[in-house]
Amino acid sequence: MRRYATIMLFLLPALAASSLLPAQGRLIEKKQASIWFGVRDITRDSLANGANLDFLNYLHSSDEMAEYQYLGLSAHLWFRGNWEADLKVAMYDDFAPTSLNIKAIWMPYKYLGFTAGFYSYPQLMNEFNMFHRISDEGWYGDTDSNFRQRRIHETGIMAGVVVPFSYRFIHLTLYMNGGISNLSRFSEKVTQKMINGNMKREIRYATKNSPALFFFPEAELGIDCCRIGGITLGFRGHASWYSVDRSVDYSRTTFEWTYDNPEQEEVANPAHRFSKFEFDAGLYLTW
Amino acid sequence: MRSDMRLRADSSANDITICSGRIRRVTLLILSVFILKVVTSCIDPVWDFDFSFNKITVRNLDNSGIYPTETDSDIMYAQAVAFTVTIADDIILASGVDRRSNDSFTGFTPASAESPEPRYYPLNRITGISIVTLEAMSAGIPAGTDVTGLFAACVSQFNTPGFLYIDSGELLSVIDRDYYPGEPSVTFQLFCMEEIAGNNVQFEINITLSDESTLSASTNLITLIRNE
Repeated sequence: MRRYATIMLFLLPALAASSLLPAQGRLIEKKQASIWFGVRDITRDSLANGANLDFLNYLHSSDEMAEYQYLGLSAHLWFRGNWEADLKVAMYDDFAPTSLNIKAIWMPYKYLGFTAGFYSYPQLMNEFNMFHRISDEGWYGDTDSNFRQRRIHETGIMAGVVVPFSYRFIHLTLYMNGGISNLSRFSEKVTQKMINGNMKREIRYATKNSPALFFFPEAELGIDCCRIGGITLGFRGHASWYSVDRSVDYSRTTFEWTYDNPEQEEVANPAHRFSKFEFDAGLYLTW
Repeated sequence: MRSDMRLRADSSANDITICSGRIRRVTLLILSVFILKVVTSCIDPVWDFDFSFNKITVRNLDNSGIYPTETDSDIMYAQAVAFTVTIADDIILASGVDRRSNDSFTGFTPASAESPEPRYYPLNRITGISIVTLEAMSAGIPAGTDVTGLFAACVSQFNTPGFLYIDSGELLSVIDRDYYPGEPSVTFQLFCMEEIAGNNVQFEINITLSDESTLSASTNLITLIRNE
């Protein structure tokens, strides 16, 4: 995923700036390149602890607005024959371009079009070992004293409709996307020891695919500010909302005392409602 | 006047030539000694010793926390009865023992950035381990019972296993080795897997060796306390 994202990061500006694809009436009729800064706010259900660890209870979320901040680059290309492409890449402070939003757009009507694309973004899962520390009385719930954190990717394919509207220097585009996404699978291990006892156990988790339908409307506003030669400079704003109901099931292998004779269980967890709101703003150049 | 000046100049040139020739010879001599030292030092360092297991030591472990620590206390939790056992050669002193072989052809000390770790080859191999309880552990386990199977083990010296223990049945294959790196001894930890019903417990640990000798040691009489 990261390699693909890196390729996209270089491909975007290269494609936008390419002189091999002239804008005058041939393959690409118009191009737009943008840079923007955004915030992402996560809202998720936190269900009461049950008998099993529910990883979705530990997705990074806080009462503060905007758990994540990111820097983004994007390109929008208007092709000949009512086709458009919209490519967005965003990165956290590690500058790894891991958030992708890529769409192909077909505009059979002036005010209505159809989209299909790919969407992926990372988020953090923190301190899932707290489940064991709280639930397993009489045990050192996790002998690993490090801060337990994992980055997981939500990746999906989507399709929808697009409604563009332009009035003089104002450009508004609404997208209504929906699709199916999956949370990246991962393995985790928790090691435990009985307090005042010799007994030790090791619990290994291996999550399964967790496909779920998502709804993903977006709104994009562009305001042309000035025009120099054939290039238009403008301000842009973009807001989106992502909603999904998902459960993360896993297989759990428990070893007690020794690594012989493990006990294996399949665990199905309840679905969580999860949503995120994003807002970003920046500048664009159109030519 | 002019000829005097030329004579003085020639004399200075001769002095410089003699001086530079001497420096070259001294440098060559030092270089030769250094090369000789390097060449003679390039040997396969052998630090192999033979030894015999002749001593067994048992110490108590406090395993109430996450990691066990050695303790002098004879009080343990009933679910945390644990010991550390060391089998060693009590006589050997590495500095006084001849090397098993020495391939160096000069008296030079082998040059190395780090001293090679000695290897200790046992003359008597470990062939068996048994643990016998000297106190009744429960109604079904009277004094004198072989309770080896009720113990799990850990041999941190050889990084085995991972976080968990090994079965006592696997212990022998881990501690019986062709050689022991670093020191002529092997240490392992024993952890009782049974919650002991009585108030006291004591064990005898027997190590059988290939020369048909047996090393035995008893633990102290341990007073057991229970979780409240």
